[in-house]
Amino acid sequence: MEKEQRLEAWLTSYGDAVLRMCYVYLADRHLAQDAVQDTFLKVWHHMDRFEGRNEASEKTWIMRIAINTCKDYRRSAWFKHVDLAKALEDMPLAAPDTTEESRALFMDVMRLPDKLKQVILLYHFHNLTMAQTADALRISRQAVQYRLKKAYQLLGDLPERSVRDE
Amino acid sequence: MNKPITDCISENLAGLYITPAHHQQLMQNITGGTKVKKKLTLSLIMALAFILLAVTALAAIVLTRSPQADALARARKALVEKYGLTHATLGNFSAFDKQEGDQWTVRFTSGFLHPSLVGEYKVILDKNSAQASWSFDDVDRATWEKAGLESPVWGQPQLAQALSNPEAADAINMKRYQENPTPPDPNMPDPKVLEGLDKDASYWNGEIVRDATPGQGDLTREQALEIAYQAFAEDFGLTRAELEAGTINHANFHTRDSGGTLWGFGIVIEKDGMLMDCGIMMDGKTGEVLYTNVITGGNG
Repeated sequence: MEKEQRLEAWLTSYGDAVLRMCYVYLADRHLAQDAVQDTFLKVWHHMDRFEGRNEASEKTWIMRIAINTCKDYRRSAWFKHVDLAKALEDMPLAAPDTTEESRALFMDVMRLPDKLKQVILLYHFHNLTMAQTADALRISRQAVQYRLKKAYQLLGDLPERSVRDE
Repeated sequence: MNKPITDCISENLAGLYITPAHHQQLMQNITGGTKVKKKLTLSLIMALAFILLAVTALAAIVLTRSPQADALARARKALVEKYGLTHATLGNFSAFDKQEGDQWTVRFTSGFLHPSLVGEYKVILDKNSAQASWSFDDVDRATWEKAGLESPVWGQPQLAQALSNPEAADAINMKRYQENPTPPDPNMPDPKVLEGLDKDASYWNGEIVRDATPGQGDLTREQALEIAYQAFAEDFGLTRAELEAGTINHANFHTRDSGGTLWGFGIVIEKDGMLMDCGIMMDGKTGEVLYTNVITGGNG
């Protein structure tokens, strides 16, 4: 597949998910859009390094780049001036049938500490496996488990939120 | 399948997606190698403007120090580094400085704790170095390093304990004074000088100063207070919140018999359950810091 076609395919497949993940991470719509462009720019530049991998690792690779891009944004002076409370007021439109409970849970996810938010986004939102999440974050599976557990404690111990069997 | 979390993100961000136009733009930018240009949102512009104003305000009162104030600050820093003293424990001591050419000698003695207990610290400073010493340097560290107030010599550990347990410390200290009275402190001014002062006059740093009201060209109280806060933050490691929560014991404007004016503040700050009485003198017009001091142990 041509390089440009592959980028097009990846942007189509993962673009929305990356945008939403960046938004949850950065709490700012404009920064999230910028982060998407920077993520796929890195993907474009380093695509040659990504050869012969299956779909799962392709997704892991892109998500790792996205997470690292968000981390860089968080460290930058630009992010330090984002007011989370104001950003939440400027939220994108939710689906019409979104319940109050769903909204409350989403707010709780937004307020999670970065490290816990990362595992929640990759493991739950992007449905990566424990091993893929660990690979994307360059941490051990045990660390993923530990962070998930901590996140569940902060989000409330719903039975549905337990770690998947793998 | 952990649906609640997965679903809540998808549902709540349903309105956030890459539109066909955005998709097209992204493809163009990425394949064209266009890097992101940060967009300035209104809130970001306002935040940056606020920061710019704050920085400008701070820049207007960059601290300057007289050679004496600089020597005192460097001497305290040298003692903190060499002996592990803290600004709180150093507050048991009064500093006396002497200048000879480019060299400053700063001695720290306690007017409250018996010299046979706490000794005297001395720092010799030149332009590039600070040599700190303690009159008990030759005492075996093992005798006091891990000991309590019963130690014959009080170093940092005992000074810290004395601050948290002043009653026990006072008892030991008073016993020392009873057993071994000390001569009057030669560093104190001649009492005759103090007795002859007018009501509106006081004695500071070897000169007579008189209460007055700031005039044109003098710093306002607010400007001078801001300098005091910055100096205390730098010299004694206090946070802005701790400083602003403190009690301003005195804020005095003086004229100097030698010419010029002074602003002086005394602010009592609570830190880690301990009261620190911080004092400063600065030039009344330029704000140059002339002297800072902190008292914690009752050596006033």
